[in-house]
Amino acid sequence: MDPVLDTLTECSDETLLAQFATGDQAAARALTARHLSRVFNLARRMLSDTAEAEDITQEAMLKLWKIAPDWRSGEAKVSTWLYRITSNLCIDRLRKRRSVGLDKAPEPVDPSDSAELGMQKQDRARALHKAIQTLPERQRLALIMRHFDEMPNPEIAAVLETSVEAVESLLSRARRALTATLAPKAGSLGLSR
Amino acid sequence: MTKDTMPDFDLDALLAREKKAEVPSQALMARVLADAADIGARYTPPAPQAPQVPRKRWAFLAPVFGAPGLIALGMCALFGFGVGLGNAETLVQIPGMEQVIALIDGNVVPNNPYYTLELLMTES
Repeated sequence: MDPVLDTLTECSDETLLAQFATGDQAAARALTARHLSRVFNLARRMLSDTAEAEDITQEAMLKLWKIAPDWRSGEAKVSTWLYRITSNLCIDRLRKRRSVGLDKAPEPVDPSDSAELGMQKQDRARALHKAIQTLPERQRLALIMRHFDEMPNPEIAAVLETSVEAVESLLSRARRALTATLAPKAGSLGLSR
Repeated sequence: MTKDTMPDFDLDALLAREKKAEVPSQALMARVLADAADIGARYTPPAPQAPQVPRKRWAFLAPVFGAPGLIALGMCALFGFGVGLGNAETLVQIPGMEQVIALIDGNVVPNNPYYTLELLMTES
């Protein structure tokens, strides 16, 4: 382990960002280690495309580096700000895709599965991701943050700049839509109770 | 029961199975850190500031009443004491002063106490 990173693990995001604004690269490494995976996975699940998710992640982190000297302490959590930026970048990318008719993203496939054993698992994953991709953007974001990132509803509300009640409504509608899409295939996908 | 309240499959279990996060590639990590290095190079660490020494109220009198002033005062007092000790009526009578004047004038000074006065009268 990097001893410098070790000492920075206890620092808050705001402190690290302030340190980065004075040219401290160790602070940038600590922030990257802390947030890169979550930002990348949010983008990957939203876009279902690893290369595009990497571009979005890089862009979101770049915005973080650029805002560092102007960061106003106490206004928003760094993580919330970062996921909001990522969400907006993903929505922009999805809209751009639609405008050029490219909304047929490749479905994620787990290469670790053997052909026979993983067939049904892959089908299930594919069906779920396909169903998630049909959700409206904000429902999709809320569902991914709640179920995959395990973010509490108030934090999701902060990212989406809405109320907790609105997040609950988004989640409820997303779950209903997913259920409606997947229910007819439940038997063939081995989803039945 | 409706499908909304009790679907015939467990959606939560399905979502939980797909929770596994993908590890970002090293290439992405390198790209992000390269951006940080690029942007961070524009940010400079704050310059170390010299400790603030409180300004003294009478500091402006230091050249006159400080150490240089005291030294000058001491030298003048010694000079005056020397003049008094020699009981000289003119500067020339002060031991060593003749040589000082000669050096200034560039001339050899005669042993005449009124030499400078005579010189002034003849030259004018």
